[in-house]
Amino acid sequence: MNKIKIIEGILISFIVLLIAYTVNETIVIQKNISNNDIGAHEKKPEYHFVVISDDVESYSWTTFISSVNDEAKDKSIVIEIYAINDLNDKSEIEKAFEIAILSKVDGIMMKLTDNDTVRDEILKCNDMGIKVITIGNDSPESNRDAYIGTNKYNLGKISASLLTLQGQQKQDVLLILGSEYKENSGASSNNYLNGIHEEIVQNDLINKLYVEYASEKRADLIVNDSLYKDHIDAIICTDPIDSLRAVKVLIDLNLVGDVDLIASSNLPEIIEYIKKGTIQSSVVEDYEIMGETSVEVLYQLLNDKRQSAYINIPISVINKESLGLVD
Amino acid sequence: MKPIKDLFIKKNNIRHKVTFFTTILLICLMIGYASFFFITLEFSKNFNAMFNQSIHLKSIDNRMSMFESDLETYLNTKDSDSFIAYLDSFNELESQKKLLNQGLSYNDNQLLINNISNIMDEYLTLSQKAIEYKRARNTKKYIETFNDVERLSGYVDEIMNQINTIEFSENLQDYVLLSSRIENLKIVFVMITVAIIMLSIVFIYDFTYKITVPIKALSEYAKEISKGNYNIEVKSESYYQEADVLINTFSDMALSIKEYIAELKGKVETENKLRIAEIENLKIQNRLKNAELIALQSQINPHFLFNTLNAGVQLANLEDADKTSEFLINLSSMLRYNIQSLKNTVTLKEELENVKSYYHLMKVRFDDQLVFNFDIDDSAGDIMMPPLILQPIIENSLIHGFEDKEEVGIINIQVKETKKGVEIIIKDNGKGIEKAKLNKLNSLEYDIYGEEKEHQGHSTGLGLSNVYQRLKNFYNSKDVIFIESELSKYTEIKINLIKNEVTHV
Repeated sequence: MNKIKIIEGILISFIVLLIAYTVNETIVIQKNISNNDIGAHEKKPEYHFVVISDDVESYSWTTFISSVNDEAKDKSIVIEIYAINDLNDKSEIEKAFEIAILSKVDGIMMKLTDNDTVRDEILKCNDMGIKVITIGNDSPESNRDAYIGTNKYNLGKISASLLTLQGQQKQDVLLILGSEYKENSGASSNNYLNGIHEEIVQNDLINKLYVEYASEKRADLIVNDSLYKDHIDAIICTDPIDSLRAVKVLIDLNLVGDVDLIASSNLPEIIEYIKKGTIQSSVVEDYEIMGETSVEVLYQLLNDKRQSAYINIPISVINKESLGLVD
Repeated sequence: MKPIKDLFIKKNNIRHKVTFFTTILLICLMIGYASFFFITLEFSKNFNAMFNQSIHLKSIDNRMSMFESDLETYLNTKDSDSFIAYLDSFNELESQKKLLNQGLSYNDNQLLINNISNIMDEYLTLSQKAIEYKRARNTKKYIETFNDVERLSGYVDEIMNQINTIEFSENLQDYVLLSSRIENLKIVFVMITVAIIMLSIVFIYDFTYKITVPIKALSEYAKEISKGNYNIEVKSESYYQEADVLINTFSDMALSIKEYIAELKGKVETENKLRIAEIENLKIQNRLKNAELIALQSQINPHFLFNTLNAGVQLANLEDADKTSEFLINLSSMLRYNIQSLKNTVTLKEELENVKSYYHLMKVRFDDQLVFNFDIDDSAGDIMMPPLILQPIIENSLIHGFEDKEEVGIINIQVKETKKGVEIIIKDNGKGIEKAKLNKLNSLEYDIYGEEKEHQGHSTGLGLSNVYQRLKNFYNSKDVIFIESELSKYTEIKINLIKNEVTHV
């Protein structure tokens, strides 16, 4: 009879486990289904912000928008994203701004390269009483309410200064600008390049500077082609994904140590490469703080609180020294 | 009502076990079915919502197309029908716009719908402006404004497509994500069903085993009892309370049967004893009958005897033979007294009269050799008693006491009242009774067969045992006769007649 009791116990335990699994799965499924209907149950947001950006794929964007969404949720703000595919398509920019104005949004966070169309649209927004802030790329001549971002000039200077530390001879440098930098347009690119040039002039250590845009060609292809075509001593990448792609090429071509790499961001993979010596250093723009600050500034502006028109996000450098790996 | 928890906590109870098992079974099945029902319901709700929303947006889109067409017609032709149709569409769109405006939402689609509502607001305003420009004959403006209307319509279309795409992609995502989970749940549910079936089989096997084992054991015990073996030891294997109750009841029943049989044996023994006592009683009655028979034998043709005796008395009177006459009178009187039924009741006075008649007759026979001394308390004469008590005792003195004795036989008869009644003392100066025999007599152990022979000399044919039995029955007391004696000196018999406690047997 004890055997029967053991069998009964096993079967009952088994059924209980299966039932628990069923209940758990039902709850998970129910949660998944009800997530689609979240707006119907949760508290309604107080403000409606729109982010208009020409860069919705880069690492900087992903980090930035994630931070924006987190901060917005805390402040009862709903975020809508309008992606601009072609900065040169004036109608696309106008349409994005018009829909935002017609939709009666409370604020616009503009992450676009500055141009005349953008400035005109900012003016229209001003007329409609919609607050506009620029992020990453400033539009200083527009009536934007505030700018939040890093100083691209300083960023360029810092990146170049890291190069000068690598050796005493003049170097041939490949600069790969990420998708947030556009060729022949926008102050960001110019400022960044100016910063680099300033540093080159000051230290007179760079022989040749090759400038390439990742928005036009994949970074790994750029690196590969440049290494075959030209003599390259160092590579500077402004985008973390581009940096990782460049590392892969250097490893494949067995050029680690021969070609220095200045990367971007504090991604764990990049930090790991710095520890190994594959990447010499990395310049970090904190997009997370940029996202938080953007929402906070726009929110404060809507609540009639004065905000600084230029909010600088600090830049930091990661290398073996900062990681405590060098005495 | 018992607390519900008892249903589940109490063990070894068939009702509780079955209730518990059935409840668990039903709960398991209910959870399984409820899960499927719930998921199916949620899915259908979701898809219904998606389709309803698409249908709704499509109807607005169609209405907007009609609206723009009517507006354009009106702007081109100023046709009143088109204007009326425009107004109808305007009102319809106005109400739809209000319906769509649910305020801000974290839900992407809801936010886009809210955007549509806001764009429609401007869209309708622009249509009114276009009409105003037309009426003001500002051709350039109304054409520009109408183009703006169409542009906004395009925005709405785009947003609607965006909504449908998002909705479809979300539902598709849900479907892909959840369908695998649902497939897993199906397998789990099949496993639950199989486990429940297995559990049911195990439960039924266990349940029937635990029910049949005690029944089988009881049938074995019953067989033993039917063979007459009541000393069985009922083992209680505790499976269910009901089985325990059955076993205990059976055990009690076996014990009761055992006790009942023992009791029955006791009763049979008691009845046997009673029967023996009854037989003894019958024997006593038989003896009484015999005594009565003997008495009756002496009554053979009493009329002839008494007539003859009367004739004798008369003859004696004629011949002046007074003593003879007196003798015959006493004889006649004593015989008449003696032939009465022993069941009769007489007074002590009548009994003493009979003793006196007997004395007179014995006096003729023994002359001076026999002397009776009477010391009678006259006030005691009325006490009731059975007849022929004193005469057999006096006859015993004459037959046994004075046998082989040459001295004058003296019998003192003393009657005196006591607290309880009357005490009669008959004392003779005969040869007395041996101590052993005396003890036996006082122990009421009368040697009946020995007496039979000795009755031969008695006029009544009655012995001491008969006298004792009748007195005992009459007064319902054993303390009626007590005998004292000293060998060669005397024998004294005390008879106690009890007042007011007369019980006729």
